Amino acid sequence: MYLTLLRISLVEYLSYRLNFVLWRFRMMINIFIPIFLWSSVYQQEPAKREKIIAYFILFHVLYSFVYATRTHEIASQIQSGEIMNLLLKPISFFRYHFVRDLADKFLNLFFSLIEVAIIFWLLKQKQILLKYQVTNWLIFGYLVTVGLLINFFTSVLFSFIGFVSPEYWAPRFLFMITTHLFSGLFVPLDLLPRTLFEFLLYTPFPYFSYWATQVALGQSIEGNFLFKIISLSLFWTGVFFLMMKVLWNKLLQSFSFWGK
Amino acid sequence: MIEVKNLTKIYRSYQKTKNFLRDLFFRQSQETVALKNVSFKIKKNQFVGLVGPNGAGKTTLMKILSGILYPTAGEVRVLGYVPFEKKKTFLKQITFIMGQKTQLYWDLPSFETFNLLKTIYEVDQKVFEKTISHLSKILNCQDLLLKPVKHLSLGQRMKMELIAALIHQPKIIFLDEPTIGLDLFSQEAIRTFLKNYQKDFEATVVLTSHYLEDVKKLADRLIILNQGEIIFDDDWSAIRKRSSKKYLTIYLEKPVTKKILNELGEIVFFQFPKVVIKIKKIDLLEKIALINKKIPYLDLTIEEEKIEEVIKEILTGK
Repeated sequence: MYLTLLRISLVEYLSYRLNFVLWRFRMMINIFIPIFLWSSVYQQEPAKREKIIAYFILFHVLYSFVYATRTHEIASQIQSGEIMNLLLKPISFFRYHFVRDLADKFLNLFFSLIEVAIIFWLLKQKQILLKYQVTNWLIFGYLVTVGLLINFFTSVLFSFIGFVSPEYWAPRFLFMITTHLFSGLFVPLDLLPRTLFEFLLYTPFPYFSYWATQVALGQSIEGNFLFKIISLSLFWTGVFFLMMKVLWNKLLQSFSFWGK
Repeated sequence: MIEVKNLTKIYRSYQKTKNFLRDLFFRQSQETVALKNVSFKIKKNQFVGLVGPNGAGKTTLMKILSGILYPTAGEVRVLGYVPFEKKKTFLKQITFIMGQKTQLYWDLPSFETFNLLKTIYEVDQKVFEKTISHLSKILNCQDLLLKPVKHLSLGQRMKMELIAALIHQPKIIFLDEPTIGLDLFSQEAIRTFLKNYQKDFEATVVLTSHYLEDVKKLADRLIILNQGEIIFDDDWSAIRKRSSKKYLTIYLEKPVTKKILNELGEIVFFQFPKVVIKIKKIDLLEKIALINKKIPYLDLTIEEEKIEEVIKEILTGK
């Protein structure tokens, strides 16, 4: 069943080709801006320049995978009442949307890899420092999984605003901008002031894709610090999962679907 | 099949004032009673029409029966299940067709949605093929299966919605305004299809529609709701018995004064030579005697009061 849903979601996505091309163009611009900005900052230091370009390239790939979601549709479906169609099906609501998200993620990943190849060619980037160690890959796999789960849960939670208000875009947009800012999309978090960096560790933002990027870049995170990252990421995943489940049950019971 | 006991549903909504801060921090809630102590039973293979004015509670009742809404008080059992629990085995036996909402993927051919529904409801491939072929043949829409939904007309889309809703051959069908916005031919086609489907598959159907024609042609039993309460629950013959008026259509031989016609009853239409008069059922013989005595006519017909009017009388209590 989920394979059929995955296929349908992919086909559905590709039915608006112009939208698709323009969207990928926007993504390309998104990656070029920080790369050019930071390239000029480190113009005199080629080693650092190469490292930061590698960071943004990898972040772009992971961002495409982790952040890709279609759960924003849930809010409008709640407001229009279309959500009722899904509620009446013998299928898990969250699994349904997670699979739709996966379709989006695979598509994003595929095209972001092509874009990265273009960037490599344009910037004559030599390599990305990947540490080929099993433990690193395991940690990387864990961090990516946690990142996409946190993204899924928070995105669904923001869609629940549709239950109480038709004005669901503004808070979602605000959260998205905050996430971009504090998750390392524009500035690698280790370049931020130390106090801010330390503080951010206790927020969910670095666990979207920042640490996964760092691990993929070969930064060794070991011992107590690794334990801290794993515990905190697990904590936020659990918190958002519980919030999503509890709120879903409560809102569904109290929502009236009046006139919908 | 369906058992409802003392069902009450109260909606809570928040009043908006012109003061933004007050709305944000001190909002006032108000309660609206959508269903008040409603009780009834529906047996297998019945076609029940839910009728009532806007806000009577029809759609709320259907949403509770299907498990979308949580009742404030009372007991609801459908096929032995508590609907709101949304057990998979329950959901596999019901369907809800909403005339104003689509479950089809807008950009894709309907067949893609059917395929997904086949896997969701775990329908056997052979049964699936047979059902699609059977339903699309009856609805005369075999050529539409591979056309993107966004390119279908409203009537064509409704046919696809019906197939999508019936792929798993549900035992209970909830129909909310299935013919809304359709032209007369499409309305007729959908009605014939629904009636035949219900007979063939022995399904239990609960229907709401603002087109009384749908209810008249399809339902065996009528439930009239008003302000959240059931005010009538019986079959069509019972509603006929509730009729208290008759219509007399007279074709006059010569012009007569309005005064004489007024003696007969309420003049509904008068343009020589035709006159239509509404009278009380119990006065029929007396009025006919009066006509024979005082009015020269060429033809006289007696008609039953329209069902719509009887329902209106029940609703207004007149």
